[in-house]
Amino acid sequence: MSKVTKAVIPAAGYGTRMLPITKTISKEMLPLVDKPILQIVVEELVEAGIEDIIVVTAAHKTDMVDYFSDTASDLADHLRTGGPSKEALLKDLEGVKDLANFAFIEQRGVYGTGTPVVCAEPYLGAEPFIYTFSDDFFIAQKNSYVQMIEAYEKYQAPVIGCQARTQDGDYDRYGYVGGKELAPGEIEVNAIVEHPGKANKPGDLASLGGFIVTADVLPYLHKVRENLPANKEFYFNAALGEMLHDGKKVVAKEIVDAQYYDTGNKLEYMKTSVAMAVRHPEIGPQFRQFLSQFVKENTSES
Amino acid sequence: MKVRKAVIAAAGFGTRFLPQTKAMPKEMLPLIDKPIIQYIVEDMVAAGITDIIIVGSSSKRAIEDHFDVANEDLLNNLRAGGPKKQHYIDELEELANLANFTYVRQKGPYGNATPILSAAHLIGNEPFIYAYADDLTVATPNAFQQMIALYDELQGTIMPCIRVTDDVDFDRYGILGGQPVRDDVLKVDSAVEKPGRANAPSDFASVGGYLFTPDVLDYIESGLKALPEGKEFYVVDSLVEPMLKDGKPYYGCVIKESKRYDTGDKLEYLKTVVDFALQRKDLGDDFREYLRTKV
Repeated sequence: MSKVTKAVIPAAGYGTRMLPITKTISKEMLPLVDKPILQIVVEELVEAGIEDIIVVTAAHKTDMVDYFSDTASDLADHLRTGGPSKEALLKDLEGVKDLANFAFIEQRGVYGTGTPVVCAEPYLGAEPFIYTFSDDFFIAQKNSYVQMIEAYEKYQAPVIGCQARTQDGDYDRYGYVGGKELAPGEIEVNAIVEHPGKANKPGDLASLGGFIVTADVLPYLHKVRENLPANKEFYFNAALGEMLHDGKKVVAKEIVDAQYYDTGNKLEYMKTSVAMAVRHPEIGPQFRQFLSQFVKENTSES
Repeated sequence: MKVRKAVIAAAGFGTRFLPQTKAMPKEMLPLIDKPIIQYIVEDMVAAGITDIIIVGSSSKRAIEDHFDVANEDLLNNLRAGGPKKQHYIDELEELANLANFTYVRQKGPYGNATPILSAAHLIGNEPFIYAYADDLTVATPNAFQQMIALYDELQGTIMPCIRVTDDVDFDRYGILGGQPVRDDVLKVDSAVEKPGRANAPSDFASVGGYLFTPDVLDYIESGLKALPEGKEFYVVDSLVEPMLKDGKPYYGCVIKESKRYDTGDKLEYLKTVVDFALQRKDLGDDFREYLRTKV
């Protein structure tokens, strides 16, 4: 069985919820303190052994290519003249392009999470690959992608990264899986329902950690695409649903000891910014002090 | 003469925010959903500025794009979203028509007087605001409005100030000396860089940013000529001091009911983000609750 070394990241959205900044800056490139959101996803993938990263993007979103692939030699030159005090920054700067082999391809096709994988198909081969999103991530004691890869290697079946989400509104926001437990936190899936609503939920595990699949998924994805009614969204999960219908095994892996961070709207982006600042090695201690002062002031008022 | 021009210095590499600033100008760092420089531009426009000259470098294209008309793909996407996305289309159109923007590249010696040198040929015989792109002051009326009102009255260069009390601040800011015109306005006769409390001529600390009289451009030329080889070109040394020596009128003014935000380093940037998010009507309550309970 071949190792999981590839990842596909969809990043073609306009990010209109974050306008006006996303007029010019891709939403995936918005900073969490001093690095773009997408870099955190990339670093998590790299830590899990991913070497090749295919970013499926739109032609006008050139900042991602500039950031992950360019050498930025003007800036590097400027830092070199700054002497030893700038060496760490120079290392950070030059490290970005060496994180992985990046390929950027343009998205064409209908709206939905299925399309980026169809666009990446010519570059995928027969190997397993991770399909994961660019505006949310887990910070886990054990890397969330490592947790998923272990499940993939154990069951040799597609893996859906999941976590329980049980607030009423969640059932209208995420895809949910149901099935029978094979081992703690490992479920053989028998139902995948996109935005089921609380009444029709197949279980409490929401699909929000990405997927590991192989090229096996592609024929199913094409089938879903071909049969897609007009004006319907093209969900990746629907292809996994088709695999279940066909009697293929699909496993849900509950991501454990992990905090989920979302950046998909202004409020979640702000919360995640604060959380990353608190964890930041350089500014964390002082920022925590600033926050505890804030909390003190706001508690005494009420 | 009516103040209608402004120069914004935006040529720095922003190395303190690396790696983020590898492919994104630090002036474009967001405070929630809007880049820092847009807050500054909006304040200028509200103060009656119509012509904005941004002094940048080859890596600052995103600033030009941001104040340009929006890309047609984005507009089409918003149009497809129907009436509920219309406000974004309106907002983007407004953004493209905020002011007349001119972009010039910075050339010349290192230092904060160089952006003025690079923009000089576009300013003409007019007063103008000179601002840094990482220095935000929130006030009502806004800081530029207050500076312009004072200029209209006193017809001299206006330097925004804060009153300092802590010992460290006397070692951190340029301190102005002179005669009080009234509360919080000083007719300046000297400017001393980081004098320490013992030698400080007053408690008026200059916080950066100016509203210059047109004759400053004469001093740009002579200042550059007088600058020794390899020396840095600073506003205070090369412009303010010679102008004061020649008896040009300068006023230090405390911006009333204001809060200053420095976004020049990571910690101050993050504090500013938090503060701005708390003040937002659409986020403030939920965000405050998060900070109180979850952090």
